[in-house]
Amino acid sequence: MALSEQHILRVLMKSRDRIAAAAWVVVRDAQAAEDIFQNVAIKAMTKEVSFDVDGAVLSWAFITARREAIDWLRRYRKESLALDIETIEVIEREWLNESQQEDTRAEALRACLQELPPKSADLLRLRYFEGLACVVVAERMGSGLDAVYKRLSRLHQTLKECVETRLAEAAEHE
Amino acid sequence: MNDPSSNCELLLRYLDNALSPEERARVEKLLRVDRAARDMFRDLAEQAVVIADVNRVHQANVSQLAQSNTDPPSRPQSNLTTFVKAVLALAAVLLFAMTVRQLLPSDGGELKIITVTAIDGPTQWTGSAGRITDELIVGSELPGGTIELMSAASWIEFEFRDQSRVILSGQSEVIISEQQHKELRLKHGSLSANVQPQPAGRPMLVHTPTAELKIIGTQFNVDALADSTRLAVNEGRVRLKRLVDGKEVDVPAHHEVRASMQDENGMSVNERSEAVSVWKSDLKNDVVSGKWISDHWMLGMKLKDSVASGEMNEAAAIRAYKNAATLQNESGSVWAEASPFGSLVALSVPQSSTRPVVLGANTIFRIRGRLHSRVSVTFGISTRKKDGGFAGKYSDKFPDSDLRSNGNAFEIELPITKLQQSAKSGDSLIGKELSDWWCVADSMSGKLEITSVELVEQ
Repeated sequence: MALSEQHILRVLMKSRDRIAAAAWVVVRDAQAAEDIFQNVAIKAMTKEVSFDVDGAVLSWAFITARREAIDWLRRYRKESLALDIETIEVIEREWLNESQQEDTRAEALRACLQELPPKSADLLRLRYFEGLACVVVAERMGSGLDAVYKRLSRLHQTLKECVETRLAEAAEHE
Repeated sequence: MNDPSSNCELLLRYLDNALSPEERARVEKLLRVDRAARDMFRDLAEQAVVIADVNRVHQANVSQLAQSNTDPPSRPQSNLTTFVKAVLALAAVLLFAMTVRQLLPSDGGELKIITVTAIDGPTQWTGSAGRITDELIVGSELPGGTIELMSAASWIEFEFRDQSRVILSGQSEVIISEQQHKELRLKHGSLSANVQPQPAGRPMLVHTPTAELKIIGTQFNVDALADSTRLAVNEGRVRLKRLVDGKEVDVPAHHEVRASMQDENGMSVNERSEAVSVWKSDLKNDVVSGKWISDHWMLGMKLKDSVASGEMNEAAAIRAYKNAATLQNESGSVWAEASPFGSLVALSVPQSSTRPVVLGANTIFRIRGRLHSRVSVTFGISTRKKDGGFAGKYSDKFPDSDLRSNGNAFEIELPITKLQQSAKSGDSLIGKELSDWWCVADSMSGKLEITSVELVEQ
């Protein structure tokens, strides 16, 4: 029996960040990645497709997001795919396997972001929300380029550790 | 991937296109063969989209969702039970469904990209599927399409989802779209815009028949005529490309530039000059609606009629025509042209005035013309804020009896303090800049001729 529209939306929403992240791997632009996720959701809602199981929804969503991302790259950046398609497919499969597990990572990540000092949050905002290249971020913040890469690297590591700690704590309490 | 910190830095440089071809190849090989490298890559990607999402939610002032997805620090993690997660997931689904449905019009699958925030005068919207409506109201949410202002007195203000605000004024037509860029195709007319900072690499684009503008985030005014574009930047910086030769200039704040199809050489960016309080229209150059007809051409028509009716022979008519000719046949008048809401003459003030014209309390419009029909006429102006955007339209209506008391010809003096604002906000026009002058006869077939328009001090 085909899944209902509401169920398909629930499945897509649970993996929203990962589907958008899969698009981001191709376009490297968070606004475009979000637009691509919304296009994928709208396609699913407007009955262009039907699914029998959750896995089929996610598999279709990752493939559709990748195709839209490649189209976006060609149309707006006049660029072709940087990574080879096999590597991207492997990355998507790894995401797909994780997506079928309980999805609490995104919630933990959001909580960790709230704990960052304002200056660190500002650096991340400039790089990923504003979409500025690190050289421009360095100019804006009055820092050296190498210092910006190092700070960003440390921040990503901090966030990863924070997420893992929160997930471990949550597992202990269950 | 033994050293997470240095490898993360390497991936960041790779994503930033800051590596040499050899280093890039090494990273790509690593991603192919090393699961740990791919895990780190996926973490980076997830963090990037979530960081952007959190900021987007914050900026859009809908922090409700972010708060509902975030546990307060004092709350134990054990509260993240299956029940809570289910509620969160359901809330997210419902919120997303509401968002998607808000973005979709009731009759189709197009994304809504603008909201009408103010409107006055007849306006028509045509959707991409050819749907036409003239029932726009404040709060109307629209997908991509065309907005056409149908009269000189019309204006509309609309807002993109990021709160970038655009005002279209006078007889203007613009096609609006938002894919990766916000795009406005101003076919003719005037717009002013206050644009929020746009994402890197995705500036707002404004196309006119003669130029293309790239806007990162700024306040500017643009007037598009068939053969030229005038751009005035009040804040920020706009890049203008002249289409006839591809020449580009950066226009900083408080500067302006004119891109013309005829002028193939210079395209100088000029600082905005000191304002003046008087102005006299150069009708031939200023007209944007209406038809300029020289006095000499009119004489030719009369002589042809005289020859046709036998009142004059051809040789005498040619002699009279040549005698009246000068090398500077600049005298003439502008005849109103039919529009859906009456016969219209519109003059663009910045066309011939290199200096801003500011309205003073003691200034009057002196208008001369001829009214050949028994119709009332509305005289009006559009204004802009000093160094800013659209500031309103003001007008006053005259019955034909006031204009035809001396045959067809009329001369009226209209103090600017008598002009009333079309949308009644009560704003005074004193101190505002004059953007355009217009008059509309009440009938489409109303024959109206304007021979002179001046703004003078009393």
